[in-house]
Amino acid sequence: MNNTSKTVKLVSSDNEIFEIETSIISLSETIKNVLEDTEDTESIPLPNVEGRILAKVIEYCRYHSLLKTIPQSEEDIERWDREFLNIDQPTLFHLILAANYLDIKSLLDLTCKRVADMIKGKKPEEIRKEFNIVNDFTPEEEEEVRRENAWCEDP
Amino acid sequence: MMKKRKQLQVSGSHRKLTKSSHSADSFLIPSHPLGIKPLGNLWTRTNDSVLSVTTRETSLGLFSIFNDECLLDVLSYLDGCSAAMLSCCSQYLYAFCSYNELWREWTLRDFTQCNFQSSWKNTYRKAFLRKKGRYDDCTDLTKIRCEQVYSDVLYRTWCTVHFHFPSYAVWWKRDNVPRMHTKDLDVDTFIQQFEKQSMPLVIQGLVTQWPAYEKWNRHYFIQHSHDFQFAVGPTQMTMQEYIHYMESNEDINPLYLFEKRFQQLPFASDYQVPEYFKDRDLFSLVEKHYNKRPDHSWLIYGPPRSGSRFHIDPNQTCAWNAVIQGRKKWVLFPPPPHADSPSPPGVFPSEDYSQVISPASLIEWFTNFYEEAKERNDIIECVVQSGELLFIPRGWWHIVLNLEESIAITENYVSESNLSHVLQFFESKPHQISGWHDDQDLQSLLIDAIQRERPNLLTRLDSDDRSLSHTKHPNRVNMNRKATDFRFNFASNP
Repeated sequence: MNNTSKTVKLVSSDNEIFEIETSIISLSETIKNVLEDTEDTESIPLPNVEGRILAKVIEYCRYHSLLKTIPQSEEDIERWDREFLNIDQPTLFHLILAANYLDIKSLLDLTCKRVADMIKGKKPEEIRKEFNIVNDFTPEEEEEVRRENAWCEDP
Repeated sequence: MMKKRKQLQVSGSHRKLTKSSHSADSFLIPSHPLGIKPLGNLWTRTNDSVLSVTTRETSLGLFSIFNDECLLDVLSYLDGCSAAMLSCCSQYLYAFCSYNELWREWTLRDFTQCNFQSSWKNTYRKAFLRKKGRYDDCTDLTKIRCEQVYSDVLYRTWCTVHFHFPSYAVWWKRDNVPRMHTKDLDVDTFIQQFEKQSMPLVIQGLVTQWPAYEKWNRHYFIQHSHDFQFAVGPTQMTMQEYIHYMESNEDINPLYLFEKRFQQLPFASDYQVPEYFKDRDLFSLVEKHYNKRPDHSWLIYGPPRSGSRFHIDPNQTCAWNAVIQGRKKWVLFPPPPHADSPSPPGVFPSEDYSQVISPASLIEWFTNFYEEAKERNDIIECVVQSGELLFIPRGWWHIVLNLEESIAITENYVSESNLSHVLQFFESKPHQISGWHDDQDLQSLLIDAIQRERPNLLTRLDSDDRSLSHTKHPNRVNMNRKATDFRFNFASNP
């Protein structure tokens, strides 16, 4: 059996169909397990992943599985990953959901670190704005919470 | 389902956990210190709170697309400072960013030295400020009430930690390991009927003779170890620090003290290797000739809830575990004789057994998989009391849960009963040899040492056993493939 040419069809929640080499999409532990458990799988429905997100996931898997045969410098990989993450927040968050669901550890690491970077060094007001969070503390609670967490701010 | 939800109804006031005198499974659960409630309570909340501005969607903003587990995963990528700022944003974020297990993970990741302070969040703050050379003017952390936050994950974790072990639970009592008093058990009987038959056994009346049985306790350990740094999970602590941690931690899987260097301490002379194992360990021949051997002896100390997840002891060794203080629940399953023998329920070893996936906490295993496990007719289980010693034959799966604060000594060994398995393991999985910190080939050293001291042993093995190890024998082939082997990993996963 020639693994490199074997393909599988992934069906997104909005019924977009992506045909992809199993060797590439096996970066996803979830899909790898499905392929191992059921032989001759032709298509796998992914009701939790939208087509536009699945396209991004496939783009990621394609590049990173290519690295196995054509190694790139660390710098190049970092640059590629950075450009890959040049997306709006909702897309980034849905990508995390997909990476989590499809169990792609390296993609989950990459996307979650991006979120961590977006939070780092920001004040609560800035974080709320960035992530659309409604302040539901009373003024007294907010004061108390700020006092409790003041230790991490530079004096 | 309804019944379960009803049980989870939480009273508004702080109440101590009390067991109903009528029924074993009806409980009053104390309320979460932040006021977090299980999701089911969302449907029964009063009008007041329906009008409240807090909803999961608004309070978490973009983060609300994640379920609770995934959200905690995402948050684990933060550092303590970012989490502190995030927790100032809203009630839900405050509740999730207060999650003890996250602060434990960050502390163990970001600081090599951690003097545990009442909670992991406090510990992180103190360590952070010390690193920055800043004065800590905050005495303790306040706790904001998050009455409108509903989360099963946060609530359940808290319950798991504060739920004292349900001593009525069936697994507390069940015990089917043979017990023998040392005066009724001579060495030869032990070897023939238990070691060679691969049968676990509790031996009584042995540990009780050790000075350790009378002497060992918190105070004695502190007195005799001074500033010795004990191996505790992925970090190190003095005995004083560890005891403080044991008393005050709220971890699902408390860090376990597992110290192989304790022979350097004066109290190591308070116990003796029992005659059943004494001078029989073939690795001691390696030590005699080469002055080195694989790790084999550990002092183990841990609070309730601590213990070891399902594993098989390293290098196909046999082991004994002597409980000096406390009580330990053990569940054991025999080594797989066939490739398709089932692993313990809820436990998934990788194909080469180098990694094992199992529930993150011991309590979780007992809650979710014990029922299934107890239906298996090959289960062996017991509660080992202080003063008892459990013999664990080579290759057996086992999980160990401390029901109380427990002190134990454990040693692993290879004797003529398991030598062939050890050699086979060395042959087939040299990269998985555990506890050996040397470049020299352990297998060659072992064979060489045995050849010098007990050459007959190898000849006997040759005739009895080597013939079996050829691929013609189907069972043996399977066993080779399944040869169990994972590294000692007693530290609870950070």
